[in-house]
Amino acid sequence: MIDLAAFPHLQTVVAQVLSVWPEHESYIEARFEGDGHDFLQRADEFAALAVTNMGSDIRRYCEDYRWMCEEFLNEDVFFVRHGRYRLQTFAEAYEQVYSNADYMARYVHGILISQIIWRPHALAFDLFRTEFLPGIPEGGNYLEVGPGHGLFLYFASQRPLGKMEAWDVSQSSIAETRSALNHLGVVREITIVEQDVLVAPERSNEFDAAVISEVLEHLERPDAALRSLYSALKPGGRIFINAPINSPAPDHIYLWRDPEEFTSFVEGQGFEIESKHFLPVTGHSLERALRRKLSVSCIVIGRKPE
Amino acid sequence: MDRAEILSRVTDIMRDVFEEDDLVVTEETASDDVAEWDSTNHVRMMVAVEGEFGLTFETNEITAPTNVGELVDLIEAKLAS
Repeated sequence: MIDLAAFPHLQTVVAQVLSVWPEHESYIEARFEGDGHDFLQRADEFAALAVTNMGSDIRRYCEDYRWMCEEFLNEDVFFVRHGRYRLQTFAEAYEQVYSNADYMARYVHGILISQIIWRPHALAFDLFRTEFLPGIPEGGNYLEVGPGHGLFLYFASQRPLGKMEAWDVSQSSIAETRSALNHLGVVREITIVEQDVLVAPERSNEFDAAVISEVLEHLERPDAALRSLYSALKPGGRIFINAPINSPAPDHIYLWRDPEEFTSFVEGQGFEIESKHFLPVTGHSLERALRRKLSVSCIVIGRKPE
Repeated sequence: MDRAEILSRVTDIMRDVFEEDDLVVTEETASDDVAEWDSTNHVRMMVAVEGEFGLTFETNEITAPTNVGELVDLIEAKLAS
């Protein structure tokens, strides 16, 4: 087994996952294979925050992670058989997932563990920390859509930013985010409002940075969401976008099939592309993932033209 | 269809899905023996088996086989039912 002794929080999470799912060992081996020290160090900092958040419930989070992976496998079977996601509308996702509080709680727990165990999730977060956050000007205003586990907000809150605001459609998700920020000792003001990005009142030229991570694939009109954020950004403002292609999940409804289609979509909403990264599912090269229509996380940092 | 023919057709599927033209497959070949045999490729292999043999697996049947012999057993049972 891979030696994570120098990264105690990663080691804690991995040990807990393997205690509830011993058969996951080869996947975890593949996930950490070749990871550099600096990246692992940052991943360990992330894991430390997650461990703080989970507290004595860590085993339940890991059980929910296993359950979530099994749910994803069912969706993958449908995707391979039919070449599309099972759900097509937000109403279906709401009925089957979002309105089910127990399901959502387990799902959110699983997602938090996946941020540590799934390489594309861990790398995407690392790009947010190392490439996006440092580029926000001091005193810049920050907007995030779908803050979820709250850890993007947490790391942003550690920087000398101006106004910080987050939107989410779910009260239970907002409660989860607030709880996480409280656990982590965030004291600075962050406005978190119940607001659907698709019907948000127009905000214009207000923010220096916008973040929308793992949200667009849940929407019927991701174009409208990006246009809303385009409007909210100041000229020159930057956006961090993370969305997967060919990535079936219980509540994914919008399917992009290749990275070029996704970057063209982002450009189509008016953004200039500053950088882009395509992160294949663990254990597969990008070329193979594209050839076999496997999940690839698309990280695009865009800019609203001056 | 006898086991040898099933095994032969399963071998072709595995070589295609795992992208290993020279993969040697026996009934004892297990997921731990093939680097490319992860959960993602397992699903693709099982759906390819469905197409090859005209079968539809239940979810628990898709995840059940951990070696080729168990998969051949499953295909035999489904073809007989």
